[in-house]
This record gives sequence, structure tokens and C-alpha cells, in this order.
Amino acid sequence: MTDTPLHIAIVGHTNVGKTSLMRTLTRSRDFGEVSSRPATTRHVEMAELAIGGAPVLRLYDTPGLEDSSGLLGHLDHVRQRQGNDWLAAIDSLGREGSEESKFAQEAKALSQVRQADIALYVIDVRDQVRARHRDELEILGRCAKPVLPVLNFIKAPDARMDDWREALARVNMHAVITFDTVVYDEADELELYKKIAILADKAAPAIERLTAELMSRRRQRHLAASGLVADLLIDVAAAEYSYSLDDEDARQHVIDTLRDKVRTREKETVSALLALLEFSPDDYRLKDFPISEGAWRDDLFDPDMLARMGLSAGKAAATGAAAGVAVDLMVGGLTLGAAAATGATIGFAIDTARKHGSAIMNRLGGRGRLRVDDGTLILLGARQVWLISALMKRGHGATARLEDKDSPDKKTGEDLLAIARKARGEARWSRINVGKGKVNSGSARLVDLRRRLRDKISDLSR
Amino acid sequence: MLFVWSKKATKRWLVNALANAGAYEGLSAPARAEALRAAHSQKSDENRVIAWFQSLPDAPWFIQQGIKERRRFGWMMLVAFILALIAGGATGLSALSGGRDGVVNIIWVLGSLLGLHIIMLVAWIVAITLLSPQSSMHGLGALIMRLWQTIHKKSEQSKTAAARQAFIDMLMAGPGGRWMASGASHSLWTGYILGAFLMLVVAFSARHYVFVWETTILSASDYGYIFAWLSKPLDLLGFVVPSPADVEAAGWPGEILDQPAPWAPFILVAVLVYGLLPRVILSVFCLYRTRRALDRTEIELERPVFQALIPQLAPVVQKTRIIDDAPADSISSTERPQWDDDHSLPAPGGPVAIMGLECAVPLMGWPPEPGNGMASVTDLGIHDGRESERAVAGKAHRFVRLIVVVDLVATPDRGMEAALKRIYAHAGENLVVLLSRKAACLERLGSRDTSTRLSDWVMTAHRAGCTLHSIVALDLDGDDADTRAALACLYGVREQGRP
Repeated sequence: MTDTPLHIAIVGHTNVGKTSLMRTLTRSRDFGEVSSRPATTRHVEMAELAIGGAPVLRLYDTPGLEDSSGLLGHLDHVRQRQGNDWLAAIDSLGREGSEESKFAQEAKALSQVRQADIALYVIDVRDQVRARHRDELEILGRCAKPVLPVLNFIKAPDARMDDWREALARVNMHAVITFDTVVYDEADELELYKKIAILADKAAPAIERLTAELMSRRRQRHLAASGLVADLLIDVAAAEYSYSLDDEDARQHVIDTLRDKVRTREKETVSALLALLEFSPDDYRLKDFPISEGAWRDDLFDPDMLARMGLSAGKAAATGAAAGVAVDLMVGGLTLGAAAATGATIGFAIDTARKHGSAIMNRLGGRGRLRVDDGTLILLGARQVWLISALMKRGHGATARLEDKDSPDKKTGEDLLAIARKARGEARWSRINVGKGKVNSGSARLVDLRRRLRDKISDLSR
Repeated sequence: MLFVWSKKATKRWLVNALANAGAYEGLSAPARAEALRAAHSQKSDENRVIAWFQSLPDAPWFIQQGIKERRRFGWMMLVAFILALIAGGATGLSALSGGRDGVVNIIWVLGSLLGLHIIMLVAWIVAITLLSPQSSMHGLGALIMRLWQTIHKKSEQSKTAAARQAFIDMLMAGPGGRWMASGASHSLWTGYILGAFLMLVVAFSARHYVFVWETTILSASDYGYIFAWLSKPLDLLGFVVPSPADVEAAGWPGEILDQPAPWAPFILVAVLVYGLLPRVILSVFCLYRTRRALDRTEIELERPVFQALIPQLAPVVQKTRIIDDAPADSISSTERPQWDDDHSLPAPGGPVAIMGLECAVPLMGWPPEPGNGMASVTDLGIHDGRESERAVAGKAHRFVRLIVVVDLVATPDRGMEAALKRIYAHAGENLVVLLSRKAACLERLGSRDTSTRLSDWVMTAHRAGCTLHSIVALDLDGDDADTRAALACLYGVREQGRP
């Protein structure tokens, strides 16, 4: 690894997304200022990328080249007047007196290019190729530094990729990078670093380690984001409240409470997601969720529940019977059969009481229980998967707020429900029930469910 | 407990416990700095996270709590082991005293001491080899651990609960869970069989027993096979086993006889080899596997709490700073001229020319026509910056109005301003700047940024010399009657049939 970092100047016409590129490469929503106005960045700002404290790259965001035609004319004039070569003319730009201050912005950018190892020339491919672009390329071509064109906004419908490739080929720039600062693409970022590494072969091993680190962090963050949603779905699927069956108001009250809690829980998840993926609360605003009322039901006797109850009680009976057999064997078989039968009965009773005792007692005591219905869970899961996916594909240079998809993918929600359903009836797993500070009980089943749900969410949001 | 719990496990437990307790929230600045310093000296993300949590102010309390928790767990296991020992002893005694006084049915004794044990052992082997780690978390060991969890369920304070939670998570829910449960289970079985074995030793030492087998429907040869089968491995191990003649002699004759055959040692050796030995070996094996699993279980760095922390502990973006300040001039002045985009110009009293400055060909074609056949406008073409000046030089004086179409989608930068200035130098007050493609701009930038863009263009044209009155907004992509009428007005042509 080289000790000195590679210096990369990011240049281009004004308002083509240089600062956005910096934001996306540094995953930093707060880097510099981004707007649709000209000359938003008028200073040079540096960001250092490092692994384990060792700097690998230094990226320099520079002011836009606004008047390249004027500048080219000026440089030509200086060159002829002073008999200097182009390089001397460019280098003298920053040193000149106040009369040339109209090119002060351009001087700062070119000075960075001259000091850098590589220049990335950012192009908004939605623009037509103009004379000013050709002038910029000519000036950069005279800076005696390798220049890599970066085609930005390639995912826009009005992108003019072919025009730009042709224009660049005319000035012998055949290697170009496609990188959309608004719509993030992992492959494009890898390609960008690969091409930089080709131009700076000494730094190549360090760059390779940097990209490996960036990608591994991205994967970890994706999993962490999926974990947040898995927690949400388990909390919501497992949540349940009881109410008095005679009191219709109580039922309504419980519905309202549960609905509020689900909404709050989803809001918390969205905030955590945005923070985790280093976006701001302005990047996405949660719209109110259509939580259905009619489908909320007292599902003690719903088929799913009954099936589970039969299954778990059956398993308990078998365990009880085994215990009975043990007693039989231990006492020399004198009670063979009787103990096993008793064991089975006791096992059934204990397990039923443990798992469903409160439900049955509630029912006997005239109380019902309410849970969040499947439809709500499907919508909730689908919307969160969409959000993760959208945020993972969002460049940190994007400024427009993320808009909700019109209809979340139902199939996605159903796939998640199929797993999340295992949390039904496990109110102690739900933070909605047990409260925020209280941690869930350490059960291998919960850990396994959470992991399966997380991996599924991660798969679906890829 | 000491056997399975290594220093590595303690470290990981501590991190999870502190994370569960939220001990990282509300840290004082010096505490945070200290934790960061500790983390920065580490090489891997996991070690950084460990170092960070270890240096939190709450860490020493948690370390003490961890020792207490493990001690409690150890005591509980010891009590359970003693209970198993007693239960084993009781079983041994009841197995010997089940039939006629002083007469021991060999098959019944072996069956009651080893039968369930063998069934459960087979069940365990099936579970551990065939079932998933989660479903193999059943049985005696899991029961014991759940019991321990339940005893402490009503936790006093959240810090204690967080510490215990992390402990349970590691022991039960992690990859070591099944081995821990299995190890606990085998240890208890070891206690149980050991209890029975000791009881047999005591009983055989202190009393005289006659060992028999009985049958109603089986023949003596069947018992011969059973004993031969049971004896073979013991024989191979060098123990004295009953001969076929001894087996035949032990058939219940209906009265108590003296037996020289080695039945008591045979029963003891069978319990030892078929009962105690496998359980001891499996206990050690499972506890070893638990330790290995605990050692290999890394911190789940994908947990959101750690993911939020890692970028601070080992930032990829180390630092950002401004290294060259903005030039000191007033280009980005925020003073905006008052301009009304709904004004119209008076009809020109002479020839009109139109030129595009770095704009796309409008959807209504170039040059844009009002469409009434009466237009007479000179087309100067669409040009880029430098060429635009050449296009108007020497011609501008011929026209009373020079309309320059600019594209709202393009950024009004200093290059554009310079170009407009050069055109103004030729056209002077006759210059009219037409701001086109508002719809395209809206589509790209949205409404808020489009209105900013519009006023930026007005400012740029104004700075180039244009009067505010000579700046008009007209979207030439909108090929409709209104646009054509506005264009006709600009060109100074009257529509047919109108005065």
C-alpha cells in the first residue's frame, strides 16, 4: 500500500453534479451544498477516504468551469503574449492580478487539477454537447493530467449517451465512467474505482481494499436495514391486546391503541432506516398507512391459531408420554401404561395452559383478543421492502424527496407474512406489548425467525 | 460453566449486554472520546466495537454482573446435578427392591437403569444429527436452561435484565445453544446414572442378592442370546462376563440358591459401560463443542446498533475540509430584480431577427413560426457561445428587434452571461431574450427549482445589459394557439382577418 493517498480532482461545467458525485462517493448527505443554481460550489473542498485510518484517496470538489470559452481565449492570449506554453499559461492563472479575477473560479478548479494525480470530468449527459464542453475538454487536455470523463444522470430518460461518447471519442477519451449520482449502482461505483486504479497502478491494491471495504459495509448496512424491518414485522405480527367482549367501546379503544402503536412503530423504523443508511428525515416522509379496521379480529379461533394449538399440544402430549414411560421404567414397569397415559395428559394440559392459557382464560372471563390482521402486515412488509430497496439505490447526491410507490408489491408482503406469521401468539416477543426498553426473551426460535425474516427482506429488497 | 466460558466469550457477552442496555446513549464527551480512542487502535471492525464498548463507563459494573450471572448458573447446575444424583440413587434402590426380597431380576434392573437412558440417547443422536439447530433445542438441558431463565424472569432492573439477556442469547439462542443444552442434559444424565451406580455398589457391598431371569413364554436360549449380546463388548474390554452355563443356571428355579457366577460385577460393569461412560464422554464432547461455538460466535455486526457505530469507529470518509475558499466577489448576489413573466412587448416597427443561444430545436420547429403565413422574420440560426457573436456581428443594426432564444433547462452561468453581453454589444436595446422550454425545465427540476431557474436567467440577462422589459418567457415547445399568438406579437405580425 502506498503511504500517500491518491489525489483526485473532480471538475466539470457548473451544475453537472460534481458535489453530488462527492456526496454519493462519500455516502454523505451533508457534504457541500447542492442546488440547481449555477456556482453553488465556489470553493475547493476535500474529502479523504481511508481504511483503518490509512488514507487511500483524497477527492477534491471544485467550482464549476462556467466560462470555458472565455477562459480558453484568455489562456491562448496569455500563451501567445508571454511566449509560454499552455501549461505555463494555466499555472500562471492563479497567480495573475485582479483583472483576471473573472476567472478566479476556473483558476481554483484548474489549480486542483494540476496538483491532482487524476481528474474526473463530470458530465450531465442530459445536456447537449456544446462548444463550451469542447473548450473545457481542450483546457483539461492541456493540463498534463489523466482525465476520466464521468457520465452523470445516465439513468435519466433524456440521457444522450451516444452523443457524449462520440464527442469524447473525438478528443481521444475512449475510457469513460458511467455513474449516476442520483440512482446509485454498485457496479458503476466498482467500475469507477477500477478505472481509477488502472490510471494509478501504484495505488491499485489500496483502492481494491477500499472498494472491498465499501462493498462489505454496504452489504452489512443492507442486512442491518433488513433487520430493522424484521423487528418491526415481528413486533406487529406478535402484538395482541385483550378487551372485554361485552364492551363494544373497549374493542374500539383497543383497535385505536393497536393502530396507533403500529403507526408509531413504523415511524420509528423509518427514522432508524434513514439514519442507518445516512439519509436525512427529509429524504422520505411516511404517509399515513391504510390500516384496515374491519379485518381486525378476535382470532383466538382462527384456523391458523387452532392448527398451531393442536400441533403444540400434541407435541407436549408426546413429551408427557415420554416422561411417563420414564417413570414406568424407573419403577420397574409396575405401572406400565398408566404413567405414560397420565404423563401425556399432564403434558397436554401444561403446554396448553402455558401457551394458550391466557387466551382460554380470557375467553372464559368474557374477554377477547385483537391482533393486527394479515392485510395490514402484507402492506407493511411490502412498503418497508420497497423503502429499503429505494434507499439502497438512492445516491447521496439525490435531492428530490423519495415518493411512495403507488401500490406496494403484494407478493412481497405475502412472502414476508408467510414467515412473520410464526410470531403470532407470541406477545412476549413484541415490543408493542412488552414495552420498548424491555428486551425480548432469548429464544432460539425468535432468533431463528428474526434471521430468516431479515434474510428474506434482504433478498426481496435487492 | 468455567469450562465453556472463555475470555473471548466474556468480551462478546459484554458488548451484547451493553448494547441491550443502551449503555452507549447519552455518553459524556470525555467518555465518548475515550471510547473512540480505544476503538481506533484496533484493526478489525469487531475488535473496534469490542474496544469501544469495553471502555464505556458502565462496563466494569457489567463485568461484575457477568461473573455473578455465571456463578448463579454454575450453582444451579450443581444443585441440578445433586438432585439427579439422588434421583439416580433412588432409582437404583427401587430397581433392586422391586421384586422378591433378596432376588434381583437382572433384565428388570438393567432395563430400569439403562432403558430410558438408551432411548433418550438415541433420540438425542437423531435430534443432533437430523434436526435443525432450533428444533434440537429440546430435552432435559433446554428444560434446565429455561427453568433458570424463568426463575430470573422478574428482573429487578433493566441493566440486570440486559446482562442476563445477553447471557441467555449467547448460551441458548446462538450456534452454541444446542451443544450447551446437550452438554447440560448429558451432565444431568451422568449424575443420574452415577447415583444409580453408587447405590448399586453400596447395595451389593452391604447385602446378599440372588440374580435371576424369569420368563413365561421365552426359552432359556433366548436369554442366552440376550446375555451373549450384552456381554460381548464387555468381554472385549476385558471384563469378566457370565458364561452361557451361568446364564442357564440363573433361570428362576423358584427358590433362592447360592450363585458363584459374577452377576453383580456384570450389572455394575454394564451400567458403567453402557450408561455412565457414554454420558461422561458426551458431556465432555458437548461442553467442548459449546466452548468452541461460543469462541467462534462473532459479534453480529449487522445489528443496527453496531452498524450505526462502525462508521464512527472506522470512518471510510476520514475528514472533509475546505482547502481553498470561495473567491471574494458578488456574483452570487441574492438581490433579485422585480420581473413579471406575464408582460408583452409592443409590436416592433421594422424587421425582426431570431437566434437560438445554446438551445434545443423547439418542438414547433426552427425558426418558430406563428403559423399564419404572414411571418417575416430573419433566421440567424442556433449557435453556441462563441459563434453566436459572429452570427450577429455586422447584421444586428439591420433589425429593430433581435430575439435570442435561450433554454431554461440550461444553467445561466457566466459563460452564458458573457455570450449575451457580446450580443448586447451589437444589438443594444433591440435585444430581446426569450426564455423557452419551461415545461422541460419543470419536468427536470420541479416547480420550486424552475422558478429559481427562471429568475436566475432573468438576472443573467439583466446583468448582460437587457432591460427587464425585454426579457420574455415563452415556451416554444408548447405548439398551441396562445404560443403562436404571443410569437406573432413578438414578431409584429397580425393574424389574418384581424385589424
